Amino acid sequence: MKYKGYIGRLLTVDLSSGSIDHIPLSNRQVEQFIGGRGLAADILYRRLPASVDPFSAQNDLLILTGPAAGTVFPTGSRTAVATVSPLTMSLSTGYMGGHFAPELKYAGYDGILITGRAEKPVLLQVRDGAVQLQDAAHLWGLDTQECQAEVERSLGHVKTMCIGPAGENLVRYAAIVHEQHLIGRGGAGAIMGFKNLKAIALHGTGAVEVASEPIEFLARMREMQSIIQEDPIALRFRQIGTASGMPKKNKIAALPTRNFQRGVFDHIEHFGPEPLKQMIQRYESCAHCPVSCGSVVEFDFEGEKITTERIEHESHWALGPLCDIGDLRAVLKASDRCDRLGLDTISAGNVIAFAMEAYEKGLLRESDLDGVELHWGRAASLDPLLDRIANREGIGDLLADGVRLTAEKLGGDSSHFAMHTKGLEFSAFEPRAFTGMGLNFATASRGADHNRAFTIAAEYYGILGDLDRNSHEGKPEMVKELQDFSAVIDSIIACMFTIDFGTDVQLFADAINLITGMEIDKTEYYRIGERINNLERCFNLRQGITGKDDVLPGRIREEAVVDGDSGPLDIREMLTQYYDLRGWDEFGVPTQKRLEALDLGPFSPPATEIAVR
Amino acid sequence: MKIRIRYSGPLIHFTGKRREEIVLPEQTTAMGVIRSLSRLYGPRFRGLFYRDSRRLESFFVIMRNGEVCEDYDRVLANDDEITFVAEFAGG
Repeated sequence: MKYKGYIGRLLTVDLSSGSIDHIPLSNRQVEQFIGGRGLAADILYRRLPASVDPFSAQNDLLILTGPAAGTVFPTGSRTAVATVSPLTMSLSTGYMGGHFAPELKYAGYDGILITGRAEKPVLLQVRDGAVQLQDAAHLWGLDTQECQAEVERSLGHVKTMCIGPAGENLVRYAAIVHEQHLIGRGGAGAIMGFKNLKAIALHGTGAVEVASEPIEFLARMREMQSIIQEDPIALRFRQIGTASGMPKKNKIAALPTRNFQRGVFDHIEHFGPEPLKQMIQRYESCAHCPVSCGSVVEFDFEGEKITTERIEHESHWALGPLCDIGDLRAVLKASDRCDRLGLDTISAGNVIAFAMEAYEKGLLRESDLDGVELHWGRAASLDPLLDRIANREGIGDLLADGVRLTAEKLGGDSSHFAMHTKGLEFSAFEPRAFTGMGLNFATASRGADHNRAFTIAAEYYGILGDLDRNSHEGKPEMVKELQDFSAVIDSIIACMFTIDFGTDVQLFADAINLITGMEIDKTEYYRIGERINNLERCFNLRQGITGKDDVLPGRIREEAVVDGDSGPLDIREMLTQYYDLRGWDEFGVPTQKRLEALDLGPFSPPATEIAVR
Repeated sequence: MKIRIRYSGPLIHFTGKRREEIVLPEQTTAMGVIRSLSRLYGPRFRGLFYRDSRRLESFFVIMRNGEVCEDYDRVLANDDEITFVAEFAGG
């Protein structure tokens, strides 16, 4: 490996046979894909056959770092986990903060490729290159905080990622948890559960080399740290988190409420920055991050003192306004419950809101609910529902499969209000009020993921030109650009919040060059991003996910936002323009010409592997 | 009097700066600072603060010396720092 920032190898663990080995990373791989998300697409496309069943021993679980992990590049020490998602059937790569990625590098690896399936629950321990699979029967059934505590009690100084009951019970949106950071979206926790892998514990004492001279490197890193740390948004994140944006969105009727029926939440005064500020006890930071946006809150809830992580915008919203629940403490408690059970809050909130609407419309009846009440705004139902989902009990067994499959089973018109794309439930952005986000939800590789292209600043503040959030003009270009930009951030594995701090492509390109010794300019940066998006598209085509899946739910296509000024959204014209910009054909399939221009010629899926258009 | 301005996120893209100092008449208010910057940077900048042409409806939080400024008509003091913070993040 001629580039710095990398160790140059992945640990491979076959849970079926118990064999442990390693494979090298090549110069080509890191030149073309950098790390994290890009590298995951390359490795898994080459390894996995078409139409992989996520719940099969053929599906891999790939844990990856980026070149910045373990260096002092600010926010670059995050971890990616990639797999075929049991929720979307697509390639799904998620990210988390904390301290896992640097420890993995210090332990001697750029990543861990987990294959096969163990017969009984196991813990994977990695200590400075020494690797062991250990019996984990005593951990099975513990929640994620109990599990980490027990692992660290028995193994000493380690960094741990694990699953909770939701992953053990194959809930399709089960999360992987490290400290109180989650790889939430897409159900990677269920894949870990299927593989009977309860936890991974790491300890490392190695180091990560960088390409540039130490004095120059540290000087440039200090500059970057200042840019990020001194931005006023960073200070607001630290003080009050990202929920600070909720009142503003509510003002323009763009805060999805009651399962996206409405855009205005009547209880907004209980949410947003000020109520949370009173509860903060202390601040916390991920490794090598100057923002320190994490904090611990403490509050009383029904006679119990709760200490948990302050939640961010998505969790606030999914368990609050989306379900029309106006009790902030109940929402915080429920988010804590999700963390402990190992559940993605966004999907969980969506499923509960969907169920509330299904009940309202008579598609779910009292007899289906085992005594849980499903009225809109019923805060007391959050924890019981989450417990049932995580344990697949009663109504929870239905809801554990996500809104798409639940709607298919319920029938009636429930698919109309199942708010997902490609199976991934919507996040807290109203597509009818931000049409670019609507196009992104429809086209992002793993479904409705706002982080694939965070269009809001561009659509509202016009940082990429004069864009009207309700108009379609300029949106295909904007979405493509942001998707390509974000793909490389996800491959460095920097924190997506950094894009809010007045950073630009040059900062990230410089970081890659300083760390690795590559010489990437802005053009090459975007080319890498485009390559990643195209490879993920090819992967998904092989999974049978085609242009027919680039659609938004009926509610978005056919209904206006109640109490807002946003009408139904028809993305077809934007989609045609987007395909054209991407160099894809009219069915959303990358052309051979485009793939070869991106050095992806060998990756083009054979025609027979693409589902009938 | 001198007013120090700090920009965040989208406004850095607009103005090309993270900070600047402007000199304004005595008795200037936060609203006066917005008007002055709108004249300086033009209609697109103005549009971020006046969404419906005439009514101020800012989707930035405006901070004065590190505290949220609730009253845009309050007179500022020399060397005050006004910060514009965009609040539209997810996460």
